[in-house]
Amino acid sequence: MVAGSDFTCMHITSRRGYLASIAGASAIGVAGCMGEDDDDSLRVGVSQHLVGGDWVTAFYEAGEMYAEEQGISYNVVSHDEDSAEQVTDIQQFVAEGYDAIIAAPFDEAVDEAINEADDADIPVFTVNDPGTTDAIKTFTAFGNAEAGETCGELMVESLEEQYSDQDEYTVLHVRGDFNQASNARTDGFDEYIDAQDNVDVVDTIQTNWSIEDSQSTTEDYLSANDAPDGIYATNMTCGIGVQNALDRLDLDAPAGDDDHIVHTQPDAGPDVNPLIEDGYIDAAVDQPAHFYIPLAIQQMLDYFEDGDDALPQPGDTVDEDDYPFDPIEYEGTQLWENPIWAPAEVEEHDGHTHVLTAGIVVTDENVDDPGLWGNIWG
Amino acid sequence: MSTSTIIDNQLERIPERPVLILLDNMIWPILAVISVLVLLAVPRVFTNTATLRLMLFAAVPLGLIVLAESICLLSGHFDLSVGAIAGFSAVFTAMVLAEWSLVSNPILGVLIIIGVGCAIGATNGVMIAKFGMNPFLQTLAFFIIFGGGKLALTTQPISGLPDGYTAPGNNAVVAIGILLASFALMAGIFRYTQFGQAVYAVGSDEESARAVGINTERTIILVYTLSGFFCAIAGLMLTGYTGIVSPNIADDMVFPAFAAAIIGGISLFGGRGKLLGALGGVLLLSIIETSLNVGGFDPTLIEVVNGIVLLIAILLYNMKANIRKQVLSAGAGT
Repeated sequence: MVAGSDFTCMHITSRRGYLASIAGASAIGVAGCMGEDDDDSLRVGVSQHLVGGDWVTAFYEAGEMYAEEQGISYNVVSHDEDSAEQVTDIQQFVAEGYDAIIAAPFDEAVDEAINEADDADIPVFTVNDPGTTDAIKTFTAFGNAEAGETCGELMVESLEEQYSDQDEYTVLHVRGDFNQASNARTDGFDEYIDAQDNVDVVDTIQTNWSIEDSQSTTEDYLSANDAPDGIYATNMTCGIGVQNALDRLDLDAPAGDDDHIVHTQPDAGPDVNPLIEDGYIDAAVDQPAHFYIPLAIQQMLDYFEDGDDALPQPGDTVDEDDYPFDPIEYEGTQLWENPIWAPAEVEEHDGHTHVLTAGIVVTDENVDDPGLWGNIWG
Repeated sequence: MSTSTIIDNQLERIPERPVLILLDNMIWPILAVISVLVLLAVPRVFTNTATLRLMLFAAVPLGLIVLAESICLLSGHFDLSVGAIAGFSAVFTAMVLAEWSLVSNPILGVLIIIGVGCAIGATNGVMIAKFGMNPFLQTLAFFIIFGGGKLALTTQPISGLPDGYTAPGNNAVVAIGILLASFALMAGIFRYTQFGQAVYAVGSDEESARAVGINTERTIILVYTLSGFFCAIAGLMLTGYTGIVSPNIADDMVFPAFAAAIIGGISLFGGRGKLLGALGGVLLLSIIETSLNVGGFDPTLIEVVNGIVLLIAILLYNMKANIRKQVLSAGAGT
C-alpha cells in the first residue's frame, strides 16, 4: 500500500511539475507578447473591429504604423462586433487612464461609454463609424450615406448608358446587417433612387456582408426572379459575392455587352479592382481607409497641443496642407504619398464634428491608381 | 478486522481527502495560479481597482448565462438557446416599454422580461420532457428562431427605456451582487434540496432516477424554466449595462457559456460538477481576457489564447478523472 501511495504521489508530483512548467512557460510567452508602455509617450487606446478582410487589415495596419511613426503607445482591442464588449473596452481604457481613445463605434450603445471618457477628460476621436454623442471630438471617414448617394448617381448614369433604349430601369439592392455603416449606405442610396422617376428598386435582400452569404443570397434570389438591370451591393465583400453569384448563374457580362448588369457599390479593394478593370463592376466609391486613423491621430496631437480650437470646425474644408503626411516605405510603395483623402468637408452631426474625407470614384479609367488602398494591400 | 486496524486504515486515508477535495474544486487552484501569473505579468488588472471592478461588472451577463447553462448541463441536457433567450427577452421587453409603449412601469418591465425568459425556457423543457425532443435539436431550433426573432422585432437599437428598468444592470455593485446571489442561491438549492438532488440524479442516469420515483419530466421542465429565468436576468443586466438594446444583444454568448461551465468543472455528460465551480470558470475567462486587453496583447491572437486556455482546462479535467481513480484505488488497496 505504501509503495502504491508513493507511486501515486510521485506520479501526481511529476504531473504537477509538468503543469507548473507549462504554466510558467506560457506566462513568459504571454508576457513577451504584451505591449510595452513607454512612460513618456502618449497612451492611446483603440477600439475597433478586426474581422472584415483586406479593408480592415489596411485600416488597422495603417493606424498601427502611423502611431509607431509618431512614437505613440498604441493598444488595439477588438470589439468582436458586440456593443457590450466595446462598452467594456472603452471603459477599461478610462479605468486605465489612457490619454486618448480612438474608436470605431459599433452602434449607439457605445455613446454612454464615450460620455464617461469625456467626463474623465479623455478625448475620444471616432473613425469609420461616427457614434451619436456630442462628447466625441471629431469623426473621420468618408460619409457612408454620401457614398450611397454617389453610388445612386453612378447607377443611374450607367443604366442610362448601358440601356439607352429603355426609359425605366430595375435595380436589386443587396444590403448588409443593421449596423450604422450599413444603414447609412442603404439609406443614402435609397433616398437618391426614390427621387428618380425612372429607377425602381424591385427588391432589397439582406446579407451579413460576407462573400459567402452575399453570394448564396444573391444566387437564390436571381434563380427565382428576373435579372434586374442593375445591382447595388453595399460593400467590398458583398460586391464580390454578388459577382460570384452572377458568374455561377452565367449572368455576368462586362459593360457594353448586351447582357451586362450594371453594378455599383461603395468600396473598391484588391479583389474588386480587377472586376472594375474588366468591366463587370461599373464603379465603386472607395474609401481612403489607410488615412482614417492617421488623420484622427493628427487631430488628436493638434488637440493636445492647442485644445479644441486646433480641431477642424464645421464649414471648413481641410486638405493635405492642414494634415501633411510623410510617406513611408510599405510593400514596395510610398504609403500616404498620395493624399487621396483630400479635400475633406467638415460638418456637424449629432453635436460633434464630422471630417468627411473624399470618396474616390473608381472606374476602369483610374483603377490602377497606386494611391488606392486596394493597390497597396493587394 | 480489528477496531485498531479500521482506525489505522482511516488515518491512512486522511491525506487522500485533501487531494479529492482539491480535485473536485480544481477550478479554484487553477484560478489562483492564473491570478498570480496575471499579477506578475499585468499587475494593474488587480492593483487598479477600477479595472478590477469593471472586469467583474462586465462578467455579470455572461456569468448569469453560464449559470443557466450549468443548470441544464447538470441535468444531463444541453441548452444552445441561452444567448438567444437572453437577447430575445431583452429586445421584446424593450419594444414593449419603449417602442410600442404598452407599459411604462419598470417593475412591470422586469416581470415581463422574466416572464418571456421563463416561458421560452419552459417550452424547451416541455418539448424535451413531454414530447421527447432531442435537447440539442430543440434548443438549436430555438437558438435560430429567437436569435432571428430579435431582428424581426427591430433592426435598430432601442433607447428611451425607463431608468428604473435599466438601473439594476447599470450599477456595478447591484449587478455583481445579483450575480453572486444567484450563484449562491442555486448552489444552496442544488446542495440542500430534494430538487437539487433530483437534478443530479437525472443527470447521472435518467432511467435510474425515474426508477427510484423521481418525477423526471417535472425536473427537466423546471430545469429549463430556471435556465430561461437566468437568461432573462442576463438580458436585463445587458440592457442596463449598455443603456440601450441593440438587435445583436447577447449574440455569440452560448459558446463562452459552455467554455466557462466546462472550465468550472461541470460535466458535459451530466450529474457532476458544482455551480460555484462554473462561477470560477467565468472569473477565469474574465481575468484572462482582461489581462490580454489591458496588457496590450496582439488583438488578433486573443481568441486563439482563449481557445488554448479552454484546451488546457479540458486536459486538466481529463487528468483529474484519472488522478481521482488512482487516489481512490490507492486508498482502497490499504
